[in-house]
Amino acid sequence: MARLNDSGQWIVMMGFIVSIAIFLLALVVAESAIVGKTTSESVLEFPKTDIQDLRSELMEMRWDKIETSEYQYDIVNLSLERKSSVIWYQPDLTGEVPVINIHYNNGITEYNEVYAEYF
Amino acid sequence: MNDSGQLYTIEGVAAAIMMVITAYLVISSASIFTPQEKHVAQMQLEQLGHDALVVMDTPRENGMQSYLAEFISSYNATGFNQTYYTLVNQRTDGTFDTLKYNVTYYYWDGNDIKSEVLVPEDYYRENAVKVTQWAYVDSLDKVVLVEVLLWRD
Amino acid sequence: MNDKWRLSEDAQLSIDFIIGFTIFMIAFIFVATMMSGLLVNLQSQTIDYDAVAYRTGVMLVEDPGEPSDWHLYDLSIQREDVERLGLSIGRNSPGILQQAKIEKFFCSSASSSCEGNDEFCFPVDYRQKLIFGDYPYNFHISLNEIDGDGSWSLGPEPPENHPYGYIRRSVLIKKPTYAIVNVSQDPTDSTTFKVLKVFIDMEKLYNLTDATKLNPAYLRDPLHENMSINLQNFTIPDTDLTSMQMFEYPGPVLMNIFPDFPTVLCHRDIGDPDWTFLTNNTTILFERGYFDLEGITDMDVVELRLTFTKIVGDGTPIQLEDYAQNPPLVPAVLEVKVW
Repeated sequence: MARLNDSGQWIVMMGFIVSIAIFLLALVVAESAIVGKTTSESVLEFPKTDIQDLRSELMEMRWDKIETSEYQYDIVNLSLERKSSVIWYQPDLTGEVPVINIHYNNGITEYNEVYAEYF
Repeated sequence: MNDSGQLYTIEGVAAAIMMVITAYLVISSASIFTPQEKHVAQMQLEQLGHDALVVMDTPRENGMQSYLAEFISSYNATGFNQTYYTLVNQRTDGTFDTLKYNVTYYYWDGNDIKSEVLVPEDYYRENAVKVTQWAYVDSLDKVVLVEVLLWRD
Repeated sequence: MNDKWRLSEDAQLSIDFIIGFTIFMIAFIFVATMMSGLLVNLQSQTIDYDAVAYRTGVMLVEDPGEPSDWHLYDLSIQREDVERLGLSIGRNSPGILQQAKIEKFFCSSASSSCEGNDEFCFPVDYRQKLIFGDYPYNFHISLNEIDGDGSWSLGPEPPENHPYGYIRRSVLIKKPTYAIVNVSQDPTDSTTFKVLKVFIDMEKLYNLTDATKLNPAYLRDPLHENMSINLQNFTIPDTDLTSMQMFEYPGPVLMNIFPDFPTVLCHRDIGDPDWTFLTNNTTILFERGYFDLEGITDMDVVELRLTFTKIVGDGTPIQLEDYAQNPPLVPAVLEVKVW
């Protein structure tokens, strides 16, 4: 029996390899086209207003000499229920400068602060 | 001249050129292509609505109660409307925008979260944003969460 | 005969080649289809003007600027030291703007001589210190008090039907401190004095001695803002101010009163025919930056000594912190348009 004519196998194989390589490169090109987030999506996602609100409310209560721990339960529960975010704060009056530790986490952004009240 | 294998060579060369061009295009144009801005209006509304709430929640003079706390403790919807409507709708050239809103506030009464509607307004599924603000209400001795649903008519 | 009619395979493509070429072409068609997505990047980029407007709005409303007392700088000599413009009174008080910063911000000129003057060069300074970025944005910034008269604007309006990025912010403006001092020109007072001494104890204004710190939105702030003293209750006619001096304590050390801004001024009614004589619209104005220029800090005490032609009191010095008050915060709306 005559040997199979396999003189074209290199061509086919190289063609096959080359086309797969091109296909993969094309996939990479297609992926690189749409990356990146619109500015307004980032702005909406970051809870700037929530964090500012929390800080200003705590500071206002301190300036009005209201004990912030009294309303902690209100704030923590409302925030968890209505805004799906975890808030915790703890004033620390020992030490030279009174500080308040603030923690905020809405699942995407986590914020921690030690705010020193200079008198 | 023996030109067998010519096509093989041509194919190899063409493939190589193709790969090089592709690789070059991929690397040089890997820029961020930001798709169409759909959320701009939402962002603008949210920022403005929140600003107006902050303006209402800041006492105008030291020692006074803020307008927001006053309106909540006296259930004064007309007062709230007068202030908030101007803050949210007035432009710098004096003309007015057409934003509408309804206001609810939530508080913890020891067992549950309760809510009260301060300004009712019919909402028919327009694109709306919700902005919130903490308010310390002296008369109820509670911290409430004021939620304003704001949309453009 | 069969030999002649047998299919000749000479000068045709081999089957191996055809298969290889077919696979190659399929892959090439894939790539060609995906290539069309590439050309979108090579189009002219649409610039996100709304994002620029939003960022500018945030910087104006929530940032005090860098350095935070940039409004006291003389731009003819310290223009490079101002890195970033912002109108807020401080980092922890977003949304509350300082009147002095507003006035300084909107003071600009488009002429080429602006470099040597104490004003911003439009539009270069604003592009470098507020908007940032390499692209030469056009912008229009306007601020309007809602129930008041204050109205400021910067830059041309966008052309008709031209799309622009827009943001609107609602803010409060903190107005300068003022004090109303009633002079007592009771002619039957036996201890007659023609000198009025007003003591300003900065420590009492800034570092309150009781344990609470004041919310910066209500701080009486002569070091960074204008402050004015309204003298009222002039009952004796022909009362005139003959001299105005400033002293610094401990000392007392005489301070300078400069001929130009920033300095201490006395405003009097000029509509009155006897315009040199004092009426109830007499105001002593400490311009912003005056105390800074004289090196007064928030621990010093200064004295304003006014000498009149008639009696004005019984000699007791006036402690300004008992009289100085802030007007209520004024709501306003700020708009930024970028194109």
